Amino acid sequence: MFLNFLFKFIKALQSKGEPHNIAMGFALGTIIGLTPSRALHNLIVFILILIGNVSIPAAFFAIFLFSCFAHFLDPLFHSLGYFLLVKIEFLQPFWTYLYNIPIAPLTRFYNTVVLGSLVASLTIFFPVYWVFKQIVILYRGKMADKVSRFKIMQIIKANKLFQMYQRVKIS
Amino acid sequence: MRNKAIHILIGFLVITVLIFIFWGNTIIARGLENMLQAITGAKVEIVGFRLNPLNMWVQMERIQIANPADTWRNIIAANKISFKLAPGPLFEGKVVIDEIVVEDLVFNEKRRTDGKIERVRKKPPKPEEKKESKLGRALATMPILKPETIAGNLDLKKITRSYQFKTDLSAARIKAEITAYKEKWDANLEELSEIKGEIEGLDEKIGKLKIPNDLKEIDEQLKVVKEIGDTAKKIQTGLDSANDRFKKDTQALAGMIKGLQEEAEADYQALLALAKLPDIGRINYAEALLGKAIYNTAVFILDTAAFIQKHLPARVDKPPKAKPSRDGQDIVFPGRKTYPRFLIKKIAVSGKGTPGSALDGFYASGVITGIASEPPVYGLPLTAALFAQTPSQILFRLNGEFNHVTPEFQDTIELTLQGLPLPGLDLGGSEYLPSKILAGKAGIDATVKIIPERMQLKALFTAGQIKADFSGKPEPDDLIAEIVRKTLAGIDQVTIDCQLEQVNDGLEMKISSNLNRMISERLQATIGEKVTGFTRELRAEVDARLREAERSLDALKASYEEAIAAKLTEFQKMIDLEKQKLEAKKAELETKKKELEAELDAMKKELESELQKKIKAEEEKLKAEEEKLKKKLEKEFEGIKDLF
Repeated sequence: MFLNFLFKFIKALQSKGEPHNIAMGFALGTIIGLTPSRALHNLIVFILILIGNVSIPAAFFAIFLFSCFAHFLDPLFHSLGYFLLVKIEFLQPFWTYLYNIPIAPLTRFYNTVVLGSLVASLTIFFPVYWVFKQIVILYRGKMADKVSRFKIMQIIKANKLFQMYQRVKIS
Repeated sequence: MRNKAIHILIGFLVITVLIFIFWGNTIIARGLENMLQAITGAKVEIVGFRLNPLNMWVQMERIQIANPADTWRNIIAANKISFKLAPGPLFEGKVVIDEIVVEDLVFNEKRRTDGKIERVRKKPPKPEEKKESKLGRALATMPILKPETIAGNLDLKKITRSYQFKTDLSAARIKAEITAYKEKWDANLEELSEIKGEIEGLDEKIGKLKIPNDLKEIDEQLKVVKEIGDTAKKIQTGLDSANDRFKKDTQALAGMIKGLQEEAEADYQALLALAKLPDIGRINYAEALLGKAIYNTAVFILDTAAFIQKHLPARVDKPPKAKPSRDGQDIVFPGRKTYPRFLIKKIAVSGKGTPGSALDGFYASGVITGIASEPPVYGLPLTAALFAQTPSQILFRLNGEFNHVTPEFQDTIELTLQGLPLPGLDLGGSEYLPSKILAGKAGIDATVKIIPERMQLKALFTAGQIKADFSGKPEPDDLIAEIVRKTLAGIDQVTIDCQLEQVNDGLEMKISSNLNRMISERLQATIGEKVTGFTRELRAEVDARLREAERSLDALKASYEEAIAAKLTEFQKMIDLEKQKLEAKKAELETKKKELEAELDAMKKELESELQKKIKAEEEKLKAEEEKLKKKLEKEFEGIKDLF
């Protein structure tokens, strides 16, 4: 599955798609990847990915990549969420208001890890977008040919299984 | 790619919606059946399950639970159950039901299909082993009293001649102990005689003290007085410690002599056993006859209560997680009501037996409130009030409160059963009990209380209008069996008060009953004066030996105590005398010191006054001379003035 995401992602990098769309897809995927899946905001971000003009493979690659190590950051997210929910007193009326309106609780904002990870992913959203955009430009300008010539890429592409997989996917 | 993803998503949603529309109710119903089967251990069938997703109403046309003991009958069945799921909590994955009303419960109904379910059941532990290991002590057993052995065994002299009295043995042992103590104290007193020498030395020192007329010497004498006082204190401490040791030894000996009463009681019981006579006034006949049956019933009630209690949901609030997982920690804010994961606020049930069946006329009703998966979140205890009445007028009432809102939970179950027919009662194979009971009714009032680490059952069994049948039982061959049989045959009412307490793994049981009084009275009347006289004589013999042993030991102890106490008192008097002498001498020295100090003050004042007078005279003299010189100078000044 990871290989599938990886190849689709490399394909997207090498396609003629705008770097902005690829970077935006990756940044949106970061939000879903870093936050726990059982929350309403993830559905909204997912719909945005589907309906928006962003790269879906990049988004899926980011979801897969970040969800792999997000749980290592949970103690950090918990501390951040706990700090925002409990320690900052002037935010208490706001959280209480959200807690008592109909839809907001479905986002599970009152959960320390959910809020901590959401705030963290939103904070890094634009830096991730900008950095990844630069990476795409850099990749296309200087690295795309080199990467294609990597032995590992040639081995993978020469692999019968991969060729069969590609044929099946194309058909 | 994008269109493909959207198509897949839409396709998935359409399939999900279709599955829910066509098979959603079936899937939920099967899930509910499986869950209830796991809880009840019997086959559960739900017919006509409908969930209206718009208003969250749930309707069931029928639910039936098979009887595990007779799988061709339903233990309980209900038609047309409907309730509403609270929609808000459902979004949070919580099931909250305000009220379920089940109006036509039907009991013991015949099934059309076999309600057997194949499941692997764990082998339960053997009840007897479990109970025996739990009970802290053995149950009382019925004594045997053969009529033919009574006459031969009631010869007091014959019995006491061959018996070695424990009272005598213990008295001899205590006597030896007193002698050992005396020897020890003789040695101690020899050591204490050194004190005498020290006290005499003090006396000599006190005698040598002087009353000098010099303040410096008086101070030196007071120093000597202090030294003597310190020595007297040391001697007093040694004497106090000896007194304490003596008191402890005396108390130990008194305890030993008092312990003779227990030995005498053991002698009495042993002699009764030799005469093959039980102490008929002290036997718990009810426990011996019915203890096992009562115990089994009581343990069953306790085990049932423990089972219910064990399967109640979480007892305590979840503490804040120290190491959060991907789940994190939910922070609760005021305002919105939080619910437990599963909550039924109220269930009201009522039902009747199937008309025409054995249970025709059976009626039951009840209300259960506060079934919650996390009681601390809900904040109210689970309560149950159930009532049932059978066609034969057996009444069943159960009131329970399971309060797990706080960690220090307290569960109370009150159970009342009235009008239980006794003819069906299994009396076991006891040779003392009737083979069956022909008539009679019984009632049980029981209260079970469960708190952490303790479970208590109090039950009162009452049975009346009893008619017992001993046919088929062998004729009793001992007197007690005969009397028990006669008592039970003629008894009209029995009350048994039972208390069973379980602390951790230990069990304690207390049984009292009017049976005890009735049987012992009958035994007294039947065995007659001879046995009563014999036991009285036996008691008198044992008591006489006890008194004799106590008297001689008390005398020995008193003489030993007297000698040692006299010696200790003598030393105390000596030291007190020396202390008094020392105090007198000290007072004398201090008085002399004060006198000398007063004299010194007076002399000092006299000298000061004389000195003052002399200074005054000199001052007046100087003033007069000054005046004289002044006048002379004024005259000379006037002369000079005239000259000019």
